[in-house]
Amino acid sequence: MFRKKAVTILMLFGLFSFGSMAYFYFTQRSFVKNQREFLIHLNNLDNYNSDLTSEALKNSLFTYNSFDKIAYDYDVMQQELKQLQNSKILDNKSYLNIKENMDKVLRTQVDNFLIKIQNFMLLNAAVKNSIVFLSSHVNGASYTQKIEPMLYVKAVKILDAFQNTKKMQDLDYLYRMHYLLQSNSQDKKIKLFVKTFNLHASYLMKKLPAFITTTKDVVVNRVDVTLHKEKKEFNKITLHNFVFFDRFAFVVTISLLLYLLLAIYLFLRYQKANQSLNYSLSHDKLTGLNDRSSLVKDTLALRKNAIILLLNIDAFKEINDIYGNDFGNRVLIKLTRLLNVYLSEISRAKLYRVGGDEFAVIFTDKSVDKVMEIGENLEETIRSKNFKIDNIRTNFSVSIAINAKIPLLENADLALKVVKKDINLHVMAYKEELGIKKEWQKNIKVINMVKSALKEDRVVPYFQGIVNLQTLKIEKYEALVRLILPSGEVLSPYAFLDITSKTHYYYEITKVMIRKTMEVAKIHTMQRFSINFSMQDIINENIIYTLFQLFDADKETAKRVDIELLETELVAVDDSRIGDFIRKVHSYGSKVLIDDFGTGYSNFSYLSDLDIDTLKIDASITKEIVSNPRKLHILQTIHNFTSGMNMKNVAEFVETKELALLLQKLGIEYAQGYLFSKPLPAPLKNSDVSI
Amino acid sequence: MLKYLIICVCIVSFASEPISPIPKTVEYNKAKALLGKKLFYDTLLSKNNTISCVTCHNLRSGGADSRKVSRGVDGRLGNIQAPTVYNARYNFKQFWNGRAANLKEQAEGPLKNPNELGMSPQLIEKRLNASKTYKKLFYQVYHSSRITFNEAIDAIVEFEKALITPNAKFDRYLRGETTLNSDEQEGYRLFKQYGCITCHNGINIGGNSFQEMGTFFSYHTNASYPDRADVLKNKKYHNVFKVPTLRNIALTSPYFHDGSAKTLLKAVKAVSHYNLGIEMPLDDAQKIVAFLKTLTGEKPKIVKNP
Repeated sequence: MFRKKAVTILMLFGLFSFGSMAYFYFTQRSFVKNQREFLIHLNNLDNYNSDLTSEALKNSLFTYNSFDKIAYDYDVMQQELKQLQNSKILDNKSYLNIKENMDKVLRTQVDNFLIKIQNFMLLNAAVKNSIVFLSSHVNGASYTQKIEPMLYVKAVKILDAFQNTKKMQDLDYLYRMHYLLQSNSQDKKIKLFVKTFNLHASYLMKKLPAFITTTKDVVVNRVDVTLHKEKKEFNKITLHNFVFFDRFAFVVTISLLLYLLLAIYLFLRYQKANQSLNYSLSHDKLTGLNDRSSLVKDTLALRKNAIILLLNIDAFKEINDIYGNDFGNRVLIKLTRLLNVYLSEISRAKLYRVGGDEFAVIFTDKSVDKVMEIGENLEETIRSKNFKIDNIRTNFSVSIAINAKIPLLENADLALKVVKKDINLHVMAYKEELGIKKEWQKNIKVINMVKSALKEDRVVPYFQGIVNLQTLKIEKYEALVRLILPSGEVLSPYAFLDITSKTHYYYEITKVMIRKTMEVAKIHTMQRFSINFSMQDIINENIIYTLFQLFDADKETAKRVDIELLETELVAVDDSRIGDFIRKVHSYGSKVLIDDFGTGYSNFSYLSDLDIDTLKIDASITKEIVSNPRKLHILQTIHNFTSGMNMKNVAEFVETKELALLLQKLGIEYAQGYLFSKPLPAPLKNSDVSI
Repeated sequence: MLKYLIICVCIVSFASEPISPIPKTVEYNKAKALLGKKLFYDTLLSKNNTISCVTCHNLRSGGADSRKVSRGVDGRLGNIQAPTVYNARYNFKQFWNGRAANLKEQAEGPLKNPNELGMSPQLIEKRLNASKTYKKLFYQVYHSSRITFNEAIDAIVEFEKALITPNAKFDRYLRGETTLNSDEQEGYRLFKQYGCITCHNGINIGGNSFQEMGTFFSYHTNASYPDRADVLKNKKYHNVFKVPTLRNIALTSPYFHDGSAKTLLKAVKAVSHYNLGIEMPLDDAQKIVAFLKTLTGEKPKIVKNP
């Protein structure tokens, strides 16, 4: 909740910051651009104004001078003024005064200035024209020197005065000057000379004062003063405007800074939370060690040169059972401490807890032999150590497997299983030759075989007759499970049942057996049929449910269907469940048989507690009674004992006439074996047998 | 002492060469200029499809009109002698009285003037857009599907910018590529010493200032040609006109704003009377005319090659 809110705030903050930054950037950029443009035009105007002024001066000084430059400057000055007036920045309210001044004061001044330039050009051309003309006029009139020398001197003097006046821009050179020539000569040429001279002299006298005034006017124009004043004012306002941008930038910076700090803070928080989560995901809570998932991750990363040492506490379940889980946990902690201390002296060794009572060490710089040595040493250390917990001294042993071959953990697991099976073996390195893997692959093959057989209805009961030795008739059939391969080959349960018992297919087989035996029993009404049940079946509620459901469905047939239980398994389950089961079976009129009696502990006590109908005596006893008196005695004792408890006996594995006759003589009720019948796909039509 | 004085005057006078040659080539957008040329020659731009720009600005001659006053649509008469379009790009302002600041403003003038082409921008746009040829040509140059008046003006202006007449004999003389004969040389000297140069200077030998016609004797006081007084609304500038260019002057008869002088000699004599107050000796005037004839340049490539 907090995080969601914080992220929202962060996003808003970020949005605001970046939005303001973008706004700031664009506003500031256009402002600076406009401001610069205005100043450029202002400076240009100033420059062209100076250019024009100096060009005008040049024109007044040099007689032969092109007007091109002055015309050009005149043009661009008008353009610059227009652009200056249209400057975008003047739309900004703070420049209202400047805009007004541009429109009124400056424009008027520039217009006036340009009019003055035009006037100047008019006067300048007129004055120069006359002076140039007079110079040539006087120069070309040297003939007057002979006729009227004084006239010529006077003309030169007047011309000089005009020249000086123009050059010095000072009318004083013409002060009290008699600028007109006078001559009484009747010479036509002289008359024309005087007339033309006086025409231009009068013209110059008329134009020179205006020319000098205009030239001064042009030079001393107010445009530059106004420009400088406006520039100063503009810069002042602009500076003020920049203060706003400064403040804005400050706010944006602070906001960005806060955004960054918040982002960093949230990131750190997130990282911290993530770290603790990662830690709990990769570490075992009890011991604080890295767990199986991190081992898998590490082995994937390491791959080469890594050796695993897998350590499993022997009979840890018993420790838990005897002392309780709490005690067991403390054992684990103590062992962890021991392992840590032990491994602290070994370089590049990392400890993991990979299961309840299983630890692993990964070595990355050791040889297999070296790790083997470490493992053996470790095993001995643990075995010889007394762990003291709550003043109870306890000791235990461990099994260790070592492996350097990929897949690391799986191979080590397989090797550890081998170690566990062998009481004398404590430490072992995985080797391909162990063939553990092959067995494992074989198991999968078998399971797949069973799976498809079930699917294709190739799991069937075979029936072996049980003969009444008195009547020599087959009274019962034992249903024995068979798997028929697609080739037609028939497999006995030794080939698949043990492996299948670890899977749920086992129950499927049991269900098939019950169902199919019931079907056969329904047809063969003269015989009883027995099905083998393991303890695993009895404690499975689903199997029990199925059995009694089928029994309920056909109660007539159910009366003739018996259950065989293995003697060896009876001790493993508490009596009440077996007792309940037997009672329920009896309620249908079915009977309960004990199979293979004499192979297990052959405890007599349960025979008194449980309501057993028939006891099948194991082949290990039956087979040898002919030759071994001790076995004969055992058989007799069992028979006597069970007869007294109202139980009947079946002797298994009867393969010779001799044995059959002996059993008949001893009064054993039933016999079963190849002598009478092999297990067959269906009960025999003729149930009579002979010895 | 006298000689010294005269030398002194000469030094001051010759501070810099007052005439500069026209560049041999100028840069312009060729595609635009060619389109402008087509428009310049096209009668489509006149109200009744009778005349075009070139009717009054004869590019085969001096780029001006040989008539005293030009005739517009329906035979209407203009109010002033048509100036040359050659080298107009170097003029300071356009028209005799400088009422147009540049070529663009100038080009719009005759188009809209009811006495000249008598068109409106809308009509020009309508006619141009109706022509498949123009639509294609304008699209190639301006990449727009609709032709605008401004684009048409722009093309014409670009063409006018190409109208320069380089390599006049005098320009080549200035560049040191040839020599003038004695009459021409003498004519140039007289041109300067009579003071003509004070107004006729620069690249266009004129065209860069406004001056008064008739400084010594009033020139046609009662005539009402559009002059600077019209533009500046000030009677003080009566008879003040833009100094006409003297380039190709031998080809642009008749002379003056009123077309009153039919030959160069008459023009030189008239201007020396009104603006110098003298009757110029025939010999001097002829020499000056000889000089003026060296100002005829080559036709630009864009005109020579159809």
